Amino acid sequence: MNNNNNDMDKFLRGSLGNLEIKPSQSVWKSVSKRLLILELARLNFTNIGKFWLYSGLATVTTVAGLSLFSINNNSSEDKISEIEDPNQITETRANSTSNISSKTSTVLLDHENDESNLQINEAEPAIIADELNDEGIEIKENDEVNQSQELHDVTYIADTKHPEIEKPITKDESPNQVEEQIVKEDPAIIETLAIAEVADESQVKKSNTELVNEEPSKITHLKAPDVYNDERKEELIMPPQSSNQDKKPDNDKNVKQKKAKKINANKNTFGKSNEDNASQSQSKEIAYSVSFNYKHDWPLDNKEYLPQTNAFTIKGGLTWKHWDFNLGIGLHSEHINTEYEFLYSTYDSTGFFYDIDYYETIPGNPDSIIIHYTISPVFDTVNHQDIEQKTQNSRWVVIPIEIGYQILQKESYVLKAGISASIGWEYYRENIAPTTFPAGFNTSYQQKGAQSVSPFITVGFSLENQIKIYNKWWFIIEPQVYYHMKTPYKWENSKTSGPFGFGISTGIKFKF
Amino acid sequence: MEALENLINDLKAGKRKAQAVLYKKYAPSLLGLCMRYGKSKAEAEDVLQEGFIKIFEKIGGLQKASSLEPWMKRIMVNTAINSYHKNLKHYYHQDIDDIQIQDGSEDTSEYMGGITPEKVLKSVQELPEGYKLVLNMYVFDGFSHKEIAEELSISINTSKTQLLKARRKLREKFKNA
Repeated sequence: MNNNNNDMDKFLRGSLGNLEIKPSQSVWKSVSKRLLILELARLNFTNIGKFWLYSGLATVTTVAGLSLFSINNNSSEDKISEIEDPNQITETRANSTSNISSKTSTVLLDHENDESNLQINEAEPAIIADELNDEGIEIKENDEVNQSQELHDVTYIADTKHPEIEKPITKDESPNQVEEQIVKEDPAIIETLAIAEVADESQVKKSNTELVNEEPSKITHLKAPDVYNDERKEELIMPPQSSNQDKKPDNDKNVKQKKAKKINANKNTFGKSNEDNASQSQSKEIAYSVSFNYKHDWPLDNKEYLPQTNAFTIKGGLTWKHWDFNLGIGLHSEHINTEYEFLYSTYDSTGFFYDIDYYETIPGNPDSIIIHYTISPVFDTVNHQDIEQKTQNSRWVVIPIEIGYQILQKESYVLKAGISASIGWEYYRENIAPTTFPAGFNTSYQQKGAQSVSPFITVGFSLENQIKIYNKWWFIIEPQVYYHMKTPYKWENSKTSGPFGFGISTGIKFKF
Repeated sequence: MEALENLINDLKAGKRKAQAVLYKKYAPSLLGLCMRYGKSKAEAEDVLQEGFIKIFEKIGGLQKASSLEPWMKRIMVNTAINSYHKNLKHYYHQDIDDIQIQDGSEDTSEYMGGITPEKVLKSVQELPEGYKLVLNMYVFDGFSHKEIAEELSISINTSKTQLLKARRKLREKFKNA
C-alpha cells in the first residue's frame, strides 16, 4: 500500500510539482494598485512618479494662489464699489469741506486694508489744518484722532513740497484771497493750473458755483467728524449760502481750475486701492530680480528612449510694469540607460548519444547480455537572449530666455504667464557600456537609445506661480509645456523637431 | 546570486520596478501552486494577489536571498490556508473513527500513464476542500501530518484520513479518465 501511495505521490508531484500558469494581467494591476494605496496610507511616496508629484504640487499651488487672489480681490472690489458710490462722489464735489473729508474716507478705507503703506509726513497735518482753517472749519481738540488721520491721508493728493503751500496762511484770509495770492505770486502755478485737465467739466462747474457760494462763517459750526460721518446724508449738509456774490470771474476761474485739479487728483484716487496706486507707481519703475531654479522635464511621447532631463539655472530678471524679462545660464543634463537586447544562437552540446557497438553474453550464462557502446555528444542549435545595459550621460550649457506678463499681482502672490526659449550646447558626454558582451553566432541587437546628441532649441509656454515666503524672497513653481524646435535626439526616421514635453520648474527668487 | 540580492534590496526599499520584476519571474509558478489549492483560476488568482501583497509587505524580514522562493511558496500556502479558514463553514471533515479505511493496495500505475497534467490538476481541484488541502500540504508542500493538524486545527488522524480519502478519490478519477 505504501508503495502505491508513494507512486501516487510521485505521479502527482511529477504532474503538478512544477506547474506554471501565466496569470491574467489584471492580477498585477490589482496588486500594484493595492500596494499604492497602502503606501499612500503610510505617506510613502517612493513609487509616486515625480511627474505626478510635481504636477500635483503645481496644481495645488496654483489653485491655492488663485483662491487667495479671489478672496482678496472680492474684498477689495467691495471696498471699491463702496467708494465709488456716485452719491458720495457728488457730495464730495459739491462741498469743498466734505471734499477733504471724503478724500480722507477714501484713503482711510484703503489704509485699513494695508496699514503698512501708511507713511506719515510730519509737515502735512499743519498744512491741512491751515487748509481747513482756510475753509473756515474749526478743528477742536477732541477731534484730534480723526483730524490727524484725515490730515495724513489728505496729503496723498497735496503737493506738500511746493514752497507756496508750505508758506503759512493767516486765518483771516478767505480761500479765494489765498488762491488769488498764490496765483499772483507764482506764475508756475498759473501755468500748471491752466494746463490741468478737467475730467468732468459739468461737475467742476457745479462744484465751482457751490464753492463760490460758500460762506465760511456759516459752516464753521460743522466739526470735522460731523463732516466725515454725515457726508452721505445730504439733508445734514448745509446748503451753500451765498454771501460773496460779487466774486470776480478771474478768481472764480482760478478756483475752478484748482478745484478741477483736485477733483482730477481725487478721481485718480477713487476706486483704487493703495496697492493699485502703489503698483501703478511701481510700474513706472524697473524692478530687478535674481532666481535659482531647478527644472525637471518629461517628454510627452511614448517612446521609451526619450529620457527625462533636468536643469539647474540662475536667471536675472527685470520687471517693467507688468512685464517680466528673464535671461539666465544653467546646466541641462540627462541620464539615460539604454538597453541592448542580444539575440544569439550557439551550436552547443545538448546531450549524449549512446552508439551501441555490439552485444555479447557472459559465457555459461545465456540470459546475460553485455552491451558495448560508444558515447557521442549530441550538438544542436541553442538560442540565447541577453540584455545588456549601457548608460549615457550628457550635459549641455543652456541659456533660458523668458518673457512673461503678470496676469495676477497681489502683495504675496504673483501669477505670470510667459513664453520661453532655451538654447543648449552639449559640452560633455559619457558612455558606460558593459565590458563584456555576449559572444556567439548570429549575434544581433536592437539599440533603443539615441544614437547621437546635439545642441537643441526649445520654446514653451509656462505659468509661473510666485509666492512670497519672506521679505524679498519668493518661492517659484512653474509648470511648463515646451516643444523642441531642434531636437537633441536623432534616431532612425526621426524628425528634426519635437517632441512636446512637460516640465516643472521650482526655485527661489530674490526681488531687489 | 548577486542580481537576486540586488533585487531583494530593491524590494526592501519598496521599489515598484523590483516588485514588478519579482512578480513577473515568480507569478507563474506561484499561480500553479495556488491552482492546486483553488477550485478555479479566478479563485487561485485571488490567493495569488493576496499572497504577493504579503510578500511585498514582509520582504523586509527575509534574511537569505537563497531562501526567497521557498519563503514565497510558504507565504502562498499560508494564504491559501487562510482562505480555507475564511470559508471553513462551507467545508467539513470526517474523523477517522467515522470511516472505514480501505486498503489502497490497488495498483494504479497501469492507468496513470496516459493522464495529462491538465487532467491531474482538474482532478485535484475537484476534490473536496478538506481532502485537497491535506493532499496539497502533504504531497506537494512537504508538511507533516502534525504540521497539517496544527495549521488546520484538526487532529493528526483526521489529516491522515483526509489524505487517504484524497488518494482514493484521485485513483477513482484516474481510473475513470
